[in-house]
Amino acid sequence: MITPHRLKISNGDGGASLNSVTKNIFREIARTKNRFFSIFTICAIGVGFFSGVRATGSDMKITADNYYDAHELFDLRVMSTFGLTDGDLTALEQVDGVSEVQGSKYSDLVFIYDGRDYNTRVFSWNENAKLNSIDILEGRFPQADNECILNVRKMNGQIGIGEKLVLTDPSDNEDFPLNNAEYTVVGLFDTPMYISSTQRGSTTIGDGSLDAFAYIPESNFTQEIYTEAYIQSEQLKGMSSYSDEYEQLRDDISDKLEELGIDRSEIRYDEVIGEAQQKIADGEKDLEKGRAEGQQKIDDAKAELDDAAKQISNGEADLAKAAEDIADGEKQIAEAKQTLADARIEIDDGKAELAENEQKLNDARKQLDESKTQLSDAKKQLDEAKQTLSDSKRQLEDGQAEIDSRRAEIESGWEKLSEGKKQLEEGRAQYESGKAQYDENLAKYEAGHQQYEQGAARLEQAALLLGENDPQIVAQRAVLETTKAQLDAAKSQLDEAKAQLDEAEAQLTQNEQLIAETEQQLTDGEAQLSAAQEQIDSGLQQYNDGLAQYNENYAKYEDGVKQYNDGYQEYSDGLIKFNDGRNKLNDAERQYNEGTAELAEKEQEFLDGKADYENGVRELEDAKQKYQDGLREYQDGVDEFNKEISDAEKKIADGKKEIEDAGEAKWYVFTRDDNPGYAEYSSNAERIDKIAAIFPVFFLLVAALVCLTTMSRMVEEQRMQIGTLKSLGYSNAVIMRQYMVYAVLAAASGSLIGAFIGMFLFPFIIMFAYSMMYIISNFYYELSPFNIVISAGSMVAAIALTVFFSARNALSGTPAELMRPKAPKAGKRVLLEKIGFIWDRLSFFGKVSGRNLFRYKRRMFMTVIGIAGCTALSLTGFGLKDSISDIVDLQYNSINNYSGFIAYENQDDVQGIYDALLDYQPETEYTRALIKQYTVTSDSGSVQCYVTAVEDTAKFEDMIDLRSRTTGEKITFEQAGGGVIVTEKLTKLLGVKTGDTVTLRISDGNTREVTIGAVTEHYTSHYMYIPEEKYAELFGNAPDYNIVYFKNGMSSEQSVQDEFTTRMLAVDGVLTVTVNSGASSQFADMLKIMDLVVVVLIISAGALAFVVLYNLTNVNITERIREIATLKVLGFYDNEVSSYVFRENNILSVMGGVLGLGIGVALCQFIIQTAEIDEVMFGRNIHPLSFLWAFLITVAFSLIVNFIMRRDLRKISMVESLKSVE
Amino acid sequence: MAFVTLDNVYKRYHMGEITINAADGMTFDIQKGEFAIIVGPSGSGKTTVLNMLGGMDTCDEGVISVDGERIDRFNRRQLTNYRRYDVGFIFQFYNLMPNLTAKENVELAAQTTKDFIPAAEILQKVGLGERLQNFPAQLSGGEQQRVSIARALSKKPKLLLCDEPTGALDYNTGKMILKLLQDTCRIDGMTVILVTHNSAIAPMADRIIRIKNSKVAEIITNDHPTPVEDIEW
Repeated sequence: MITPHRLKISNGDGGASLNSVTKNIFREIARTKNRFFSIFTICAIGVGFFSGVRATGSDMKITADNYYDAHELFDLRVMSTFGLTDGDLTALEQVDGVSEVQGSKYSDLVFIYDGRDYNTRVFSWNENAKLNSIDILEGRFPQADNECILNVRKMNGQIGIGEKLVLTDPSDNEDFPLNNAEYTVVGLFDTPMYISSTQRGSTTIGDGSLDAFAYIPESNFTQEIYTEAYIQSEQLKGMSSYSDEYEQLRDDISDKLEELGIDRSEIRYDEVIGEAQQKIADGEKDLEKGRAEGQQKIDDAKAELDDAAKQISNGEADLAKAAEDIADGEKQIAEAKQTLADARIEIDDGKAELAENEQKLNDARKQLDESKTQLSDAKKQLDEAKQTLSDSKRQLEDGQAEIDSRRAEIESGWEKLSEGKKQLEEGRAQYESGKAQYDENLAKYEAGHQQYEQGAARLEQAALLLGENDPQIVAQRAVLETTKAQLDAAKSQLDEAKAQLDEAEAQLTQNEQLIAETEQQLTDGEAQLSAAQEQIDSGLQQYNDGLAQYNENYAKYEDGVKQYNDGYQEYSDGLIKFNDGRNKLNDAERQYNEGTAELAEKEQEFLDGKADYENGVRELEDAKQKYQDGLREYQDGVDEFNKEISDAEKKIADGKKEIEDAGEAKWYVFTRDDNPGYAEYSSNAERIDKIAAIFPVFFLLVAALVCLTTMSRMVEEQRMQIGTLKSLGYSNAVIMRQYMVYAVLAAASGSLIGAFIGMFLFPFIIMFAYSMMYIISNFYYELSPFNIVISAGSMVAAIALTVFFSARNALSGTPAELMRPKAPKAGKRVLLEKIGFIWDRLSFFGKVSGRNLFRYKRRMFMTVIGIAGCTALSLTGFGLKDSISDIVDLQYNSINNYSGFIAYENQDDVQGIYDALLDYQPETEYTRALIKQYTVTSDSGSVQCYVTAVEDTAKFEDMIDLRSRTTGEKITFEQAGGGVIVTEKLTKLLGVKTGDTVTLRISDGNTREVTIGAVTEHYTSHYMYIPEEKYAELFGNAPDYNIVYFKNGMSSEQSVQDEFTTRMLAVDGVLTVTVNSGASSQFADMLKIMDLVVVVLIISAGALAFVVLYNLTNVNITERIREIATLKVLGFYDNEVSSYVFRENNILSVMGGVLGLGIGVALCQFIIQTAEIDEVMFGRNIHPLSFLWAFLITVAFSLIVNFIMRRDLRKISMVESLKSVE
Repeated sequence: MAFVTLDNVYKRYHMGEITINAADGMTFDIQKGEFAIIVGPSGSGKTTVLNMLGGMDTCDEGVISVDGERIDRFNRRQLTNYRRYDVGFIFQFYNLMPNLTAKENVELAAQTTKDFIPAAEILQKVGLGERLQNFPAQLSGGEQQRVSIARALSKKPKLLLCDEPTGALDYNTGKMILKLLQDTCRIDGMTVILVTHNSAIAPMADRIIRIKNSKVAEIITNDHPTPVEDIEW
């Protein structure tokens, strides 16, 4: 709190009062730490950024200059078309301003490592050399003759110490420029002549660009003269390398050197040409001598060959005769063979006949034997028949006898039978009489029996009547009994008589039967006899017949015997004849065998003869072959002789022509600007300066504006105090001094600290980023007082002015006015309220915020600008990154449609490469091109560009997407008409457009005018595409293609590509295989730099946003503290209070963000165009996601500030705030 | 129990090594519907009492109860709610939002509660029916204070706290404001506590509490309050 009563009144003389006022200032600072610190910080950031970025460009140049001086980099370099002699070097040393001259030799050669060609500039190493001192990064300097040190920036990791390199000379020079072709790498180095990591300079060999540098001991060079001379000037060394005075003096010295060159060239010319002419004369003499000697040798050889030819023709005649003999022999043998064959047939026929006869004889014999058997069988039958006949006769006689005896027997039988018949008839008569008696007795008995029965029946009847016991009856009964016994006795007699009669009857019957049988037997015997008689008679007849037949058969038998005897005789005769024939045939066979043996012997003899003949023929062929060989050798010899002679003649002629063509000896003087990267480094530094001119100023401006708001608020707040001081009689100056000191103290301390930090931090970050592209190290930081004064001074001045105006405004009031609280800014309607349809839709608090925003216009603008700056910076960071990643995306994924390309050496190998590609993938498309680097110039500059001669325009258009970046339309060679197609960045660098003409330098002093037919979108390197016919027209010869572009849809996987590359490198004639891959190391490095840039920009943006928002919110709160306290008293919750305040912040943040995106696009475009390096074109589009991110980051910062400020809001005391007016 | 009770309330401020007792064991009651005036010279602690009663400040010791609730025990949030729903404030310097019209200022308070009197109606009641759309800067002091009273009444508080409501007003305007406050108490039955250094207006109150040196010096119950029109100072 102020304590006015302690201040002494001092009018004008501030001496005594200073203490109190000063104390008051320091108390004020302590009381308002936040405000003081925020002014301090914002000044530090603004000034730090401004001074830091401003310092960077110059720091980069000083760093580079220090590096060049430390490494004694040459100032000028002299080359001569005839080389430089020691005499030339001595003359150079005499030139005014030259303090050091150093001769050097180099040669552009090639070594192959891991299947890849490295175009290498091989320098002579001399340990006493003072200029261009080398930094050994690893290993040591060369000592032995076959040691070298190497610089292969692209592949440093791959070719290490200890590797052996074999150097070859791809040019058509006949002499290898070094004594030794094989070197061991003993060290890796950096040289100040080549500071760029990406640009290595151009050469006349290979694809025209250098890949490596090497130093080898000087003694390896065969040439005596120096290739070039390095020149240093002490005066120049004292100057800054990129300064105007340096360039001025350098050009002066350069002019003097060129002048000297005219004299020295003449001397050198005479020397070299004289030498050459002597050599030619010597050569001509040698040629004549050689020609004579050679001719002699040729003649000798010719004579020898003729002899040989004669011998051969003799041999041929001998052989012809022998051939005739052989033909005769062959014929004879054939005839003999025929005779023998005929004989053989005859013998075989005889044998067949003989066999047939033998068969016949055997058949006859068999027939005879059969006949014999038949005859003896017949004899046996005849004998048997005879026996049978005699047996039959005897039997017949026996039978007759027996018949006769039987007949007698039967006669006697018949007599006995008649006797028996007579006896029987007598027996019959006896029986008849006995029978009649019996019948009579029987009748008597039966009458008696009948009476008895009657008497018995009557008795029975009487018994019934009288009873049984009636004596009459008993008596009668006795009578009957007696009768009965009599009757039974009679009966028995009768039965006996009967039995006798039956027996007699049986006897009689038996006898009768016997007689009948006997009679039958006799009759039968008679019948049998007559039958037997009949048989005998017929048997007799048979016998007689058989006898007749026998006699007949016997006669037949006699005939058979006779026939048999005749056949046998015939058979014996045949047998004799057969034996004779067989003997004859055996004789013939023996003769045949003898003939055959003889023939075989003869044939062998013939074959031997023939073999001899064939040997002779072969020998003759050999002789002929030898003769031919000899002849060819002879001709070769003659050709060689002729060639050697003509070569020698040509050489002499060439030499003569060379002397004629050698033209003038001429010196060329180069500056450091011709070193790759040297000039580019400086333009990079200048680019940073350009950025410094816009970017940090922006920061400074925002910082100043924020401070202004803060300070004027402070003055505002202290009206009462000002009024009090004023009423106490303090002068305006003293009062103002208080605020001035406060503000200047904060601003100056912040600015100085910011400047010191910034002048280290920003140069470091930027140089660090560039150190990825340049070898220049040992960063130098210059604390330039001028820079500090400019940056810190302008900041402090701006703030002092602010304070002056706001304080003066306050001081203009009367003390009374000042001591009364300034009426709060009156509320009023804003424009927005007139737009009913928007205003009516706003919530109550929306209306309040809307009105508040417009009430504090200055604060609104400040906030929007600060936030917009934050968003713009973030967007620039992201946009830069997008534009670089677009290089990779667009170039490798959208423009380069080919899968890769193969560099090869020889047109003969190209078919093999095509075959290998088709073998890998049958669908592969391919086309050839010739790529070589040339310089293209226009009025506004010169660019190294790859001239690409295209074999097949249609196929090529398929390999590389030719299109306009702005319209996206496809470009064809047809559209380009007679002109060529060039890449977009080339036209930007040369300041040309379609239809303009550029100059293409084909070789030294040989240029062509080329009209640009079309411009194509392209991001890396510069290309000029020329159709085949156009190339021929420009260069005078058809393109000697060295590249095959191919497209085979290969996967982008590393392993697949590696496998493919390995496979292709194995194909004959393939030099390199390059696969189209976005993972290019150059851009990977750049993207890393960009990551850093993005981080720096976002941090800066964040700091800016933070400080701006913090300050302005702070001001906002203090300004409206009564309002806030009132809200609290009215029972608003904390979050309601916060949102009442921060709603405005949020609206402003969004407005600022949107505005910032617009500013960001412009800023990003500016930065890209200034930061872009010549070799590439950055993408021109910011990705949508980047807009989103930039916006979100802004919103996030604003939310963070809100969050922090909530605490302050909470702390506001209702009581204190409300009574402040008391 | 009384509507408002202070029982042995202490409030101490620490200024470095010095401790100031802004309230040194104050005890008094105020009944519901009373018009109470707390009167005392500058720095006697009367505003401290009002702040504590209004929930803007807390006491260090003692009991403060309003309508049976121990507001001395309230936490921050409860105090906010208490201010929000139960208390209406009237300040010496009105404390209106300069950027809001009269009607909007009243609505601002009404925003916080559900049961409120519409802004236009309450402004009509305090006699500002014609000035609804005017900004505070366009109103006179008395009009501003009436807006302030309207704002306090619009949310139907239990208690109306007035801190020197006439301090910045001229005599006649001051009287009109006091009349308005007295009528509010009499007609609407509102409990009104008014803090002033001006003893002259004390007779208009039902209860007069005199404060001296941060202590209650005297409590007078006035059974026959003088109408505002009859008071002169």
